[in-house]
Amino acid sequence: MQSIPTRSLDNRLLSALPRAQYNLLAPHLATVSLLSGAVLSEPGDEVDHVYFPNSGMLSLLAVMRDGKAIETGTVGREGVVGAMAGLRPYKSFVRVLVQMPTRVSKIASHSFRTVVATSEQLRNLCIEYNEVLLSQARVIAACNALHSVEARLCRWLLQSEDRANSDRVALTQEFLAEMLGVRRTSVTAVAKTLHDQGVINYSHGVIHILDRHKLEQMSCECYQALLDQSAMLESILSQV
Amino acid sequence: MPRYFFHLNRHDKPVLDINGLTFLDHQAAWEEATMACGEMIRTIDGQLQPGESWEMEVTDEAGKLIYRLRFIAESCE
Repeated sequence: MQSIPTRSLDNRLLSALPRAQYNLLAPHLATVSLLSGAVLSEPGDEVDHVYFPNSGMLSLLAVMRDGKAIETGTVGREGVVGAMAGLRPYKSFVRVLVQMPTRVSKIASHSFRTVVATSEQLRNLCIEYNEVLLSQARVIAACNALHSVEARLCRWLLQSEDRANSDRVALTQEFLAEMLGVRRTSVTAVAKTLHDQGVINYSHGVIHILDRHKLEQMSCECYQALLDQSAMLESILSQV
Repeated sequence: MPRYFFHLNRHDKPVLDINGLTFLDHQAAWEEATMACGEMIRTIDGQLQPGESWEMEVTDEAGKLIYRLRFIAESCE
């Protein structure tokens, strides 16, 4: 008798799938560890793999012609990157960046398409997940245009702490500046202000969150908005 | 590359830049300073009062002042 591969329960989309659907995917899934800073794809690349994170966080960045980039979405264990490749050969419009050490279950796009073609449930998941990314991008677009660098940095640190499952987040100034689409000097000034107020400790590229409650107060409403949206969409996706 | 320090003085609350950043030359540091000021001034809100000011000072590694950018709020009545 062929053994059934161990079910990866960490990715919540995979764990919400009915057993029969999961078993179709399981033989094609490979679990790999990705290093912080790795780029999985650039805008214009054909998506060759679909990634279901089991821990950590992947960032979706819009990239400008002069090289400037800004985060337009993040995907953790609640989601998937590249799901559109389940419907057709798909070119990415974003840079996919590994934001912290991340474990993923990955599947080759062509294998994913073969399985999706046999499953209406998986097809619906590929379509519905676009709504998750779109709603996230709407909040982040508004946040980037309307909110202060300080509030945005607080929002970003809270999200990263949730994803990293640790109150220590290893980040360089350059990296933070890129995620927020601001100058390094602005990041330094805001990080110093938060440090002086005892909210974070920032040294040697590692941010240690000291006062999460204060950080939540200093963040804009977008942190909570993204959490609420994500919870609502997750419950819809689990019923797809 | 030379290292530059970008110190802030917001409503008399100093935020000292301890680590600084490296740039090719004065001109590149000036561009960084002006763009960062633009980002931070954007967040000035209705709490700013006449008589208050906001400034950034750019110094070199020896502590020599190279640029100062000031935003001053005044009542002219």
